[in-house]
Amino acid sequence: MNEKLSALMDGELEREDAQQVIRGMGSDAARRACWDEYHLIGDTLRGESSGEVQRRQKAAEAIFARLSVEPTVLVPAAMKAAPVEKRTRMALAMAASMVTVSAIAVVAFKQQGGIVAPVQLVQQVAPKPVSQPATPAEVRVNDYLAIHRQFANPEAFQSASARRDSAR
Amino acid sequence: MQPPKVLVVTRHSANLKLPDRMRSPPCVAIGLLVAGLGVVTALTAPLASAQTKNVSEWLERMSKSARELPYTGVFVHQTSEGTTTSRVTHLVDKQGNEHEKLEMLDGPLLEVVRRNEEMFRYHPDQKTVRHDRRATGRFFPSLVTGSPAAIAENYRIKLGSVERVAGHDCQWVVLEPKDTMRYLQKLCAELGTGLLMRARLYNERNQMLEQFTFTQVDVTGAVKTQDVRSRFEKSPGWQRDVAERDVMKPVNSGWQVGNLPAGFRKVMEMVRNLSGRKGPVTHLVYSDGLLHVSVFVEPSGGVAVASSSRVIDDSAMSVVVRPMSDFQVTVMGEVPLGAVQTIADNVTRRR
Repeated sequence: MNEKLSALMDGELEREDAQQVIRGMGSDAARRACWDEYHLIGDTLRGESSGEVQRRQKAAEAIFARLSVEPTVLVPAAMKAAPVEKRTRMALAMAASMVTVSAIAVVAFKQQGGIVAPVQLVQQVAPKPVSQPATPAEVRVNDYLAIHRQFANPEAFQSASARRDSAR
Repeated sequence: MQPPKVLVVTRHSANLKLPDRMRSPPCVAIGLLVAGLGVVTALTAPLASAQTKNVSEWLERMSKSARELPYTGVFVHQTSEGTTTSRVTHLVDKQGNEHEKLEMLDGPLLEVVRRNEEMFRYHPDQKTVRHDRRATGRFFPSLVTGSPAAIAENYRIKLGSVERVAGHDCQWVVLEPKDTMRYLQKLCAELGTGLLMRARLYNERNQMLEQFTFTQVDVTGAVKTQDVRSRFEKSPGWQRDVAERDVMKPVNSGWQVGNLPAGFRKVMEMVRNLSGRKGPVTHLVYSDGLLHVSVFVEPSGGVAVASSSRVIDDSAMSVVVRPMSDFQVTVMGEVPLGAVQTIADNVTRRR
């Protein structure tokens, strides 16, 4: 595992492997500590200040903490198809709530047309922009969705039923 | 915080790579061998028809076993929205009535009991039982609802490898769409009974959108009648949802889809009285034997409706909303957006 961490730091891992290692770190404190240490070693060798090191370490912790509670992403590449405005909006919303530095880095990278799997994953699971209250049209579609899915998606049905009850 | 979920993720990324490995059915090797023997003309024709017969049989068995066998098991449903775990119990009684019970094992308690086409949803948190009619038919493990012949008209069907799922050996059957009106599906059926063990849905870019998989299943037949009843059936103080109780009558609604995509047939037509609507809502369900599309038509009551079409987040669900004179038409289904759009464009009033 440590070799993989090291390879990830050097950007030498394949996309799938990288995603797996990063996801793994979300739940494994020992591996995270290892990751931090490797970075600390690297930073010290490059002669960076300890304040900078600490700040970065905090940012990394925040990212992994979020990763550990995020849902499974079944379509990791779907973001590529999203229109640029949507991506930028999501990234900006995330910047406000989450990891400013990384998010801006992602946007910059996107605009250059580059794709970095690990960073992209972080972006993918970013919280949605502050949600507007659902319009009547959206409520309608959600109710129909629940009916169409029936019990395949109980949460959808329950929330739809609850809305109907409160509307009465 | 949730290590089990992370485990699923890891396993899942590994699974995503599987399909490439599955594309080398042994029959290819046999075919080559036969060619090598120089008896090509004599043998390939019967071989091909045997293959066709074989895939039809697998589809038939998947459909039949899910409808007729007694079974009980736990399955996981994964989409981009998350993962839910449910227990399903199925039995056909001596009178030939089909019973099914579905218990949600994640989140708030919910039990769904089905008797033939009637569904009862028990919500213990609201002490309410809701009565509905089974409409869309997309219920694991009963995903194959059409005839194999009809399905074969719109999908290229191939046998894949044999894999072990939840302790059972199962045969992969790959269904590739012949047009852009449906998605690629991979179904794995238990060797002995034909019961579906795992089902996957992929978009046109070969990305998995949805997976159902048994994590444990018992097909030895030890299901009793009480197992398919809700434990809340006799609880005191429950109310029936009156608003939805007597609305599910099949009707001739006067609405239809004029020019359906190939292979889609109407499987259900009903009128629903939903609160918050200007009038009764017509609900039509179309299926190609595997996937389902719902058409909802409601009076718009003079309110202008904006047209919109989209795929819901990263899910398999496409939705189109459009105005039509004094009505609003909403079409949705686990099919490509183009298929939903085609259906929405062809909704007409019957004369």
